[in-house]
Amino acid sequence: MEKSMNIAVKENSMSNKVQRVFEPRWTERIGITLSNPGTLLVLPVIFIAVFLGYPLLNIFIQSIYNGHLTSEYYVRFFSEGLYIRVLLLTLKIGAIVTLTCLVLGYPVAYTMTFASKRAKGLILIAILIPFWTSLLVRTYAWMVLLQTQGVVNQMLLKLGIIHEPIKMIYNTTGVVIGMTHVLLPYMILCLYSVMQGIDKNLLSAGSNLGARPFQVFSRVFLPLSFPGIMSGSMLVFIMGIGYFITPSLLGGQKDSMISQLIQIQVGDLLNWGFASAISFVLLAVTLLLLMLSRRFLRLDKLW
Amino acid sequence: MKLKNIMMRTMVAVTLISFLLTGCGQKTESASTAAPAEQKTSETKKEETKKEEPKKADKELVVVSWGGAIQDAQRTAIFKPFEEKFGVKIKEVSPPDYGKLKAMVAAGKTEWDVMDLDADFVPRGIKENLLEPLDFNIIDKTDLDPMSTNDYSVGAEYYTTGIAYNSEVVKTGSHPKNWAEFWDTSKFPQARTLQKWPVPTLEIALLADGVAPDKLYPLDVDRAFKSLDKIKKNVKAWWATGAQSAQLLTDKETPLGGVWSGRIIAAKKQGAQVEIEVNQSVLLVDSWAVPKGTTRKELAMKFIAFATSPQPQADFAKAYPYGVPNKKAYDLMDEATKATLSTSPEKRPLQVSIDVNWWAENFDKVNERFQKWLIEQ
Repeated sequence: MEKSMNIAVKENSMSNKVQRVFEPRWTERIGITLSNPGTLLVLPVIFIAVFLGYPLLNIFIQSIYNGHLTSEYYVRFFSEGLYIRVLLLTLKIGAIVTLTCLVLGYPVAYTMTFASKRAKGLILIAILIPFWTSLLVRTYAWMVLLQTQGVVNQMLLKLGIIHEPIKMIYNTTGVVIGMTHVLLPYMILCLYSVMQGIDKNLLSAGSNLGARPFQVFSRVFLPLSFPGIMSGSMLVFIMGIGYFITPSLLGGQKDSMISQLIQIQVGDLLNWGFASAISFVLLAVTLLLLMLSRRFLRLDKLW
Repeated sequence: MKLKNIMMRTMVAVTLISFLLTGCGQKTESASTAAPAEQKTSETKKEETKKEEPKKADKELVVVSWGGAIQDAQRTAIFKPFEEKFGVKIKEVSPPDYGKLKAMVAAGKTEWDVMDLDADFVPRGIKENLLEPLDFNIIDKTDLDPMSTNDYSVGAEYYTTGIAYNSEVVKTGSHPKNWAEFWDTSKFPQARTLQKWPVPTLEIALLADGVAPDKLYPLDVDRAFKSLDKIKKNVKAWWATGAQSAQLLTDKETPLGGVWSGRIIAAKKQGAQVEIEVNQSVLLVDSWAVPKGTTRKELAMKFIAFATSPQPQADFAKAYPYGVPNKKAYDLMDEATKATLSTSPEKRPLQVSIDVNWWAENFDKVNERFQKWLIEQ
């Protein structure tokens, strides 16, 4: 009995030895092989870990550690009405900008989808040239246009449309105009990429079945373009709530957005703990929104 | 189908490129509002040179100042002559961003060597351990104004914040001549601009409320904020950089403002219809200091010694109408130059002085309140 067991053990260890030769390397064991397309992700993942994950971790530690573990920064953020108000205002401006981008961008993307190749190219160029211009230059240009003595007011006054200058700068109007201009291309490109993938035969089928042009649009095209509306709106909203330069230059103090609050804490007050806490609140809000939107539609289908 | 494929690929490529480009744009954006582009290029250049010729690193010096007209004057009067005399290349950066300074010191990688700072930052910088003590074996302080000299900093230039106005909108003579009149919104309904900084905005608010210039300190902070409440809705813009304030006045966006005198005089020289009132202007000082951890400490001290010596200071005063702390410098100036300076004997009695020590004690608390007050409805 014992003998046979010994033999069994021996055999076992031998088979182990044989196995070890063919044993996959650790990289292969965790799925990194040349045949796995995920392998291509190794470098980006390392990049993200080093340049995003590590700094984020540092910021998080700063927000809860002040020589000792503390929740004072978060408590302060949520206990003072002022900071909550800034957060809500940030979300409100983000929502207004998203809506204006959608209203302005949808017709453009729609026209592009059905335009001739030549017209399509022209529209694309018209969208991309401002897109490639420095954000700072564009914001300064808006300052020149919108101020009291600016081009827009002067023109409206001369034409007799208004009798005294409209206030379009250093208030929420200025912020919304400036941010909409900067974020509009993102919306149009998201909408267009979905719209041009819609099978046009479905529209013909709709008309053949007796739908009037508006019905074809509202019952067939609009629902099919919904993923574009969602992805564009998400992108614009999430980028919008982190905006800094446009609200600082075109807004008044009362239009301060959350990133301006962070900048004051970092640059002027040198209170990095509180700044880190505010940053994390912003990040949490963004992630929450992403999760909520996941409940309504599958993210992987968006982009 | 093929065409569609190509279109699709182009779209993806274009979008990717655009995202990359906007990424770059945002980097510039976060740099600063004052002179982001210049700042970025000068920094990138600095890094490049460092990589190329590490041995020559001690032959360059990074000086951080306020940009615009004031830095132009420093360049001709101080930087260029220093470069020639010491065979050193000066890299200019602007503006002195205190958050960035703290980040550099915290990372143990100080890339700036000399900074032109708000005098009221010096005590905060000492408290946060961000500054090197100065070496007075190299810097000769015998002739320097003791008021602006301490262990960590020496005065660079005296500047004033005064009542500025656009003379096309508000005629000279009927302009506000003191801060109480500046606060009078029924007599002057025009939009105003004030500095987004508590020094000397709180002093100004108290002067407007009738506090005598010699009875300002200790500041009655509550009273100052009450006074600020009265003017808040008439302050259309709170300026953060000198260039911005001059622009607001020149464009008549805000025909009235509490602005640095030098910026207004520089704008006027360029043809803008702007003027500044001397009466009740607040006299402040900027200081040269050395950030903690610089690798070129000795050269930095030599730079400060040079910058505060009589000839460069006289040249600076001639180029820019700000007083200087070296009393021997005044011997080298002509009478016309002396009369234009913020420190001229005629102007001095009309001006109000700042107590840096009070601010050293109270800055953090008051600024926190001030910044919160700004964004309140």
